[in-house]
Amino acid sequence: MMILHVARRELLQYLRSPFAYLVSAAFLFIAGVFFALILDNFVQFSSQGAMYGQGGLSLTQGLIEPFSSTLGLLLVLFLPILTMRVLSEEQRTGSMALLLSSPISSLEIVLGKWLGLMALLLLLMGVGLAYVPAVLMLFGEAPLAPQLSALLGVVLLAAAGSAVGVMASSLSSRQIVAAVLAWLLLLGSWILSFLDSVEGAIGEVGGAIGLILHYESFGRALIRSNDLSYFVIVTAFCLFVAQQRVESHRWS
Amino acid sequence: MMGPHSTGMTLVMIEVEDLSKRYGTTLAVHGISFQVAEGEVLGFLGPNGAGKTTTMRILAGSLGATSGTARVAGFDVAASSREVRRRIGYLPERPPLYTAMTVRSYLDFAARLRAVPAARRSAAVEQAMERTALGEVRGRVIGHLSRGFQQRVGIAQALVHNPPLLILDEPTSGLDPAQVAEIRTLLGELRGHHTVVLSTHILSEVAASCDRVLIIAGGRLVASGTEEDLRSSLGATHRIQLLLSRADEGTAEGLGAVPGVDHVTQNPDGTYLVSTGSEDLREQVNAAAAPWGLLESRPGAGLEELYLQAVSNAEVNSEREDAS
Repeated sequence: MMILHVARRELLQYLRSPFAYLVSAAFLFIAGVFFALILDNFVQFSSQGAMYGQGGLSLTQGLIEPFSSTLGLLLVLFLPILTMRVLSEEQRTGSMALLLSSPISSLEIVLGKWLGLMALLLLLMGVGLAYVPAVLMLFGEAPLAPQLSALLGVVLLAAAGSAVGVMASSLSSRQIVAAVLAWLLLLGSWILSFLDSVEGAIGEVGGAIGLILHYESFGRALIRSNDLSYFVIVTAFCLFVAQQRVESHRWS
Repeated sequence: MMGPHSTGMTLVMIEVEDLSKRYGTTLAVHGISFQVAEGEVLGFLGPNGAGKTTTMRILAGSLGATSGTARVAGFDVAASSREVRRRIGYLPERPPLYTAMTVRSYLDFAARLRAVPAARRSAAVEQAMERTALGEVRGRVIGHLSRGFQQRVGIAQALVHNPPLLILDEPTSGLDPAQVAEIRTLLGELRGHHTVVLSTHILSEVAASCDRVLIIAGGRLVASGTEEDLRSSLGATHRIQLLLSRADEGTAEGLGAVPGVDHVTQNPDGTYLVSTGSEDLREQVNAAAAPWGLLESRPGAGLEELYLQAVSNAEVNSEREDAS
């Protein structure tokens, strides 16, 4: 119950904040532009394929996979802007004292904050990107499984990305520091994915922690247990660090 | 369920034993022990950095002690922190406000955090606003309110769940005199409904609002009791404070020559303080002071002086300890 009270306040704060609307609008606008470009590309490619009698790209290869990739990168770029204030601001303004002096645990505080963020992201994408499945349906038999798989990937990435943001925000009372730290972690692990092709240990590390590798398979309608565990572990670990950090405020 | 327990006749709300808190190498609180009875209004008095805030944060369950114990309503603040937090309302030095929220929605959130049942929440918020006279600004955004109103919102969040114990850290700091008077009236209204522990470095506040005073300096408890207790424990003698319009170098000597006067000191504000041992020599001293243009004569040894005396004694003692 306490978690939901914190989550509710968090969501309401975003919904009342002009800044959150600005960030959301920018996110949706850029996502929309990319969707239009990818769609245009797909339509052209398909018609060319038909002209030369070749089998064109499938809807999954030509539309779902590239758009889910783009959406992933956009999330990584935009999430830190939304998450940076979540605990930093409480530390800076002193409102953390209200939470810390209430009969609520530090885990409930952190989970509530994270859930509030997730609610915002799901609302934002659920409403703002509802046109995506609608457009897919225009092509007739849009296969459901790849769409659901891609959606699962986006939700897991949003969950892990928010958790990274909450953790970064717990580490500094300055929002800009929290945002930069979250970007470094998210983009860093995104870039590490490219080390996958390197021979030896470096390649293995890159393959294990590279964000893009674990994310992109969902766009290809592949749900693998190691990818699922990757996102669950990252989310749990970051929330744990944030909880420890909040708890340390209580006792330091 | 545990509650304030009885020792003899009175119910004890707070029991602190040999409490210490160390930050790195600094000892912020040094072996403090005291008790607060249920319903009592206790004032923590001391200079800035004396350890008042640290002690209050420990009592509020938002800071761990280095050693010693503190119990609130029978619950240990460290081992049963959550039970303690259920029973307190805490106003930190800086009110913990979400400045983008309206007064009403903020208090509603505070009531939710303090586990006020949904059925009673709305009434609890209304009552807190009524007690702190916030009704007229209920729909306003907190960040747009004056400092005085913001402080009242801070107090309202501390009492929204009607806790048995209120811990108020500097409830009047940074307010203008009219706002201080308002908060003082409010504190007066809390008496009888809650046990209150408040801290301040303003003496008149303690005299006006508290049943009992604890004076803390350098992390130690240097004196405690009612104003009367302090007076006798500090061995306060009769003193007369004089405001003179034409004081000169000879004034102190001249006043000191009055039979029965022990010594004469000049305060930083220019007034003279005449100590007369156990005798009441107001008439003689006033007569002697007349040539220097006596404007005002009043009995000294108010709380302010007792406080300064206690604090300076504490400093002398700690210097002695450091030297030995």
